Amino acid sequence: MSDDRNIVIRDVSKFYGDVLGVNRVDLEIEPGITSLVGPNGSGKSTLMNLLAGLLRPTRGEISILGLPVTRPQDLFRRFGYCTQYDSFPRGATGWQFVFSYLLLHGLDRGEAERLTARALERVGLVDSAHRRIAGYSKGMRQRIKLAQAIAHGPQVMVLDEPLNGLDPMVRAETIELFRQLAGEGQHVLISSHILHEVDLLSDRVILISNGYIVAEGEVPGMRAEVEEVREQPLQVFVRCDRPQWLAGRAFELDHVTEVQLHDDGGGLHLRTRDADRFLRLVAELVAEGGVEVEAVGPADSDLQAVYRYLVHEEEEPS
Amino acid sequence: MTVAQETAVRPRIDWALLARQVGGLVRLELRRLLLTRRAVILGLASAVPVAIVLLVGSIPIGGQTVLERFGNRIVYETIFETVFLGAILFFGCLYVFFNLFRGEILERSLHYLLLTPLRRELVVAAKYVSAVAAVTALFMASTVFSYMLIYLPVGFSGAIEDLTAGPGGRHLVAYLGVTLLACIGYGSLFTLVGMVFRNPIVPAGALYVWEMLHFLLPPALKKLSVIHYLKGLLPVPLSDGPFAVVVEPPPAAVSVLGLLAFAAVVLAVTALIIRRMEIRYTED
Repeated sequence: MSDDRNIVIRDVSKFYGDVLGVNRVDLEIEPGITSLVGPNGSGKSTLMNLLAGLLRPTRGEISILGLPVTRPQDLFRRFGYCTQYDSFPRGATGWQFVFSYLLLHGLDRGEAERLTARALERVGLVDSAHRRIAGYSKGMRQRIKLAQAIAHGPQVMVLDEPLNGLDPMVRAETIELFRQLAGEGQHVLISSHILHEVDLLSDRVILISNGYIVAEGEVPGMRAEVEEVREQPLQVFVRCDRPQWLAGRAFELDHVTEVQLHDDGGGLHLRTRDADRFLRLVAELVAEGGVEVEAVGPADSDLQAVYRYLVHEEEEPS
Repeated sequence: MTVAQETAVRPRIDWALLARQVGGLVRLELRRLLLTRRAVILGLASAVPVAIVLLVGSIPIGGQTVLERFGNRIVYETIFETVFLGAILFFGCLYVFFNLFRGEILERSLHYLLLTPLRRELVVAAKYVSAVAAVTALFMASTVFSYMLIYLPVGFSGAIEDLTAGPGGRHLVAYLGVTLLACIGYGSLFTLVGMVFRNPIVPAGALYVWEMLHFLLPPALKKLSVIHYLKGLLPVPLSDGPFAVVVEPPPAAVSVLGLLAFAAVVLAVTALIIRRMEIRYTED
């Protein structure tokens, strides 16, 4: 896919004096939902602010749909950014907030009104549109920011923690909205640290830690593609009729590091550095009639496992 | 057609679109300036000269009002020069123009403007023009009202005669022109100060001392003050006192064009700064 249909980040670094924001980021992001995942302070917002031109890279180049980020007059017709800042123009109502910035796109009042109404409807804030934002709940403020970012129908949406503060119902609706937008061929780049949601909604994931991109790719294939992760023990579960016997056979293999029997006696979890060889062994044992297997599969090939391995968080992310 | 190709074939500048965009920003700014607490404070400040002229024109001291005793033109010139030009215009412009960008930085809402399809230089220009329009409207109204009050001793017919047949009309136009130019000059300066400084006290204090003591400055340095050019346009010359370094006021055309050029240069510097500006509210 050509550069003028993608978000292209070439060897971008950003330093705040001596402090690293992001370093040597090289990415090409295609349409669809892409999640930027990393712990607090990892560089997610820095990278998003660089994409929006709110920060200037110390080194490297960024283009969005072939447009340089230094040309707001072109870029922001196709780019919408929902920042992390929970702040608004003083005294504005939800309607005024969305409407007045739409006028800066050069739209006539009628068109701006139509787009404002549509954006407010998409985020479910029609009833509260004429209330002051200062009186909104945290979730409503998140949604009005989202409405403002998407109101002009951008092809690229960059959304910094857009699900923060949303209750479960609205969260589900908002995720559905992202899916709709991505389904229309748009770029939706979302930052988040809520991994199970990212896992569910993303087409692709970019993992960032301490300013470096540590992994990128489609969620299911990411683990296999990342060498660093491949070297980590993979957790596999087996549901079978003879878990103790199987545990004994597994311990004979040098790549199996840990075995844990299930409490119900109907299976086991084990950690192996070579899942393929272990699965081949299971297949051979089944063929020989040594064990009957009900189910077998990786227990931690989800994003959270990859994140844990790569980001080395001391605390489990929420 | 790809986005980049669309952009390439679009006319270089779509003036109608640009006018709508700038119009949208001007309306947004005017609402911020005129429909908020800021407008109330400015309104009260602009009422001060009106109140003073009303006071000196209506309360007799020893059988005569101050206007009658010293002459209405001298009294008005003194009030305009010392109170209006010397304090209210300066601090009114400081209040509005310093906060033009700094206020939005502190409010953490500037990024919304910088995420619109407007060149940053145009954002500076549109915000500045809006502020000049708002401040000038208030202060010109104050100038007109206060000037009309100097005719209290002569009544309505005397006022009409002086404004139409006498020098009154020309003087009023001069005061209005000085008001406008003061807003343009000080406005540009404080817009820049607001972009560069987080706290206005030190730069504004230094500028105020410079402007107020300009009459003591040697002729070459006088030319570096805004008030030097403004005073040259005032219709009634007043003495700056025994310690003043007296120089010939610059010709009116030099004052007007000089102040406009000064404002343009200062705004160009402001535009250069905003072009390179990063949004990092945590540092502000």
